[in-house]
Amino acid sequence: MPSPLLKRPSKRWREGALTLLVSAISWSMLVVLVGVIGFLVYQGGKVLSWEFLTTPMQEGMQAGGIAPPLVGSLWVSTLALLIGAILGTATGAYLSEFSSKGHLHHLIELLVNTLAGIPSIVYGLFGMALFVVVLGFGASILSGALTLSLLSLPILIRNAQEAFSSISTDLKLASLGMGASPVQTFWRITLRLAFPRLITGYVLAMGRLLGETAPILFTVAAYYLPAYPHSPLEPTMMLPYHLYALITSGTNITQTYPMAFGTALVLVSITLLLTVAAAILRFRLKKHLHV
Amino acid sequence: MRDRIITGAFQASALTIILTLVGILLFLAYEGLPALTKKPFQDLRFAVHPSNPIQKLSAHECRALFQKNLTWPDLGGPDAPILPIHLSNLERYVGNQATPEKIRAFLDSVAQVPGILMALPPALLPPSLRPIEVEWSAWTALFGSSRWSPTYEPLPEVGIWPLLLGSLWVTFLSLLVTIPLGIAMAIYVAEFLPRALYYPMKVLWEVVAGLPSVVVGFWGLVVLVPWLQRSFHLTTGETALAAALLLGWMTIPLMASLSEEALSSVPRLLVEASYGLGATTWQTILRVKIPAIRSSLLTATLLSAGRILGETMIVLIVSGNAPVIPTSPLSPVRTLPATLAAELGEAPVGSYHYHTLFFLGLILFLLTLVLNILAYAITPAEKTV
Repeated sequence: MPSPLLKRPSKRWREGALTLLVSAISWSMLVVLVGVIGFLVYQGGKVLSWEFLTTPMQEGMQAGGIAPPLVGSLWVSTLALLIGAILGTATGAYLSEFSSKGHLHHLIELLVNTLAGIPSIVYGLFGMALFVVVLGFGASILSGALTLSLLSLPILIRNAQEAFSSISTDLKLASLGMGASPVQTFWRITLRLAFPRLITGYVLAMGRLLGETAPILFTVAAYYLPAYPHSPLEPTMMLPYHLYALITSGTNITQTYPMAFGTALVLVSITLLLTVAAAILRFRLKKHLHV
Repeated sequence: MRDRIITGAFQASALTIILTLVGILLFLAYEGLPALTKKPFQDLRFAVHPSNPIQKLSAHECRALFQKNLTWPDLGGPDAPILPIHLSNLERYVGNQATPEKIRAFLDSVAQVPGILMALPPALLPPSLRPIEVEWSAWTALFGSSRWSPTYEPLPEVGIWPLLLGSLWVTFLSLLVTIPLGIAMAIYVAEFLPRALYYPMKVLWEVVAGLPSVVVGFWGLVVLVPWLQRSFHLTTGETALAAALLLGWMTIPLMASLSEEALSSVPRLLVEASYGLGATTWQTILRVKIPAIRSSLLTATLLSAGRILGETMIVLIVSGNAPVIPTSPLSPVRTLPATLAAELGEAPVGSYHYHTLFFLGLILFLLTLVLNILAYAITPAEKTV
């Protein structure tokens, strides 16, 4: 029988090795992320300039800037977020404050979870069949925004639900006790206090929406359209699809790849900025808001 | 009264969720199911020379004749070389500027050839030819073939196996990356990470999960693909492996955060009992905690699989997109979502190709739906642990 004294060091060594392994794996994620972003910053930094952001493409896509897809992306995502935020917040409010927690409530919660797992390309197909073809909006900002708003609903609903239920019940009860109706309580107390959290969710959703490619392929995105949209029923270029077009269709890689790196850098910076902003907002809320 | 309207509005917006899901299912079925009932050659007629004894051809035989992989004598037809004419090669014979008279004269002249086989709209078919029947079975076409060339004239091949197996293959390979690394990260964060770094780590996960997939795909194409090509001495680095590495990496945060939540929810009693018996940290993790959260890990795996299965852009950019049944991690592969993204833009609305793509979309939707429902059906079990 081996003495415990002899066994212990080997066990300790093995445990240490395992701990080291999982920590190395965990931090390697950061290393890869820095590698990816660093590479894009290095390559994309060469073409990035104020002019790159504010002028249209030239010579096909081989020179010039990315203003039209940038503007188009902002248009579509903002409109999508507007629609999604209204629907999502209202649904969240219903689930968290007004539903009778019966069968309907559970069904809707289940469907929200299910919708969150449906591939974005399927939303694209649905958007194409419904908004583009049946409703006749054509490939347009409106079709794309509606499609993207459906895609963002699960995130926005969950966020709203969490935001509303994080408000302390004492406050809600106090308001009800003063004679306010449930709707007045929601409007004057719950909504106001939950507002910072709601904003956090909107910022996060915006970050996700700006990076989505699959749902916009057939609903909005124009391959090459160096003009700014004038109405929601026009198609427009968008950043993710513009990047895809630059990667795959360029016959002259030496010309189009620098453009692609620049576009990728802009796209990744925007989504990174929004994601980190949302994270910091939420962190500060957790620290300071003890209501 | 005003209160009623407002709560009514809230309830109505909640109902849009039901409408969305039902709408997705209905529209995919409405546009996808015609792939089972329609024929790709709805507006074409097939015809042969009157002296040709053949009455009926299967779609497979007919396609082989057009490709000249079969000859007339193979099927008991005339001993004459085959002359296939269809819309797309007609243009090659007469040029794309031909007048209707010129086309008619050309068709009448080739109608004299004993080995003629035509697939043309009824209006163009010379009356001297005898129409034959071509049998088309949607099920055989979709599930009995291993080839995908949906625009091939006049008889497309729409076997979905290469795409379905491609999707499953990439998902499987990606999970090999996601599951072990995701669980390892979850263990590190739940057990060893200093409290001060907990939140930054979560932000890191969120950032990785939120990277636009088209950007990750581009990075893969420029950095990972050439590297794979050099290290494995491949003709091209655009392989299932490249897609799986990127997809697996992007899905780690989902796997890790779900597993981490589960690990932290293991009852203190169990953990303390384990320590009390003299178990070390790692013994407790591997023998007590991991077995206790089995079902949550399965849920996390199913949700990750669903996420990977539906990812479009990365696969489209780095996987080579060859619609062949994959045989190794290093073979190029094409998945369901990538096919949809690549082809739907070119398929005319209402065409057979269009309906087939929606049918693929329907399959993809049902697959992810089943994965999600399974995942949530398993979850409650964890609460009884």
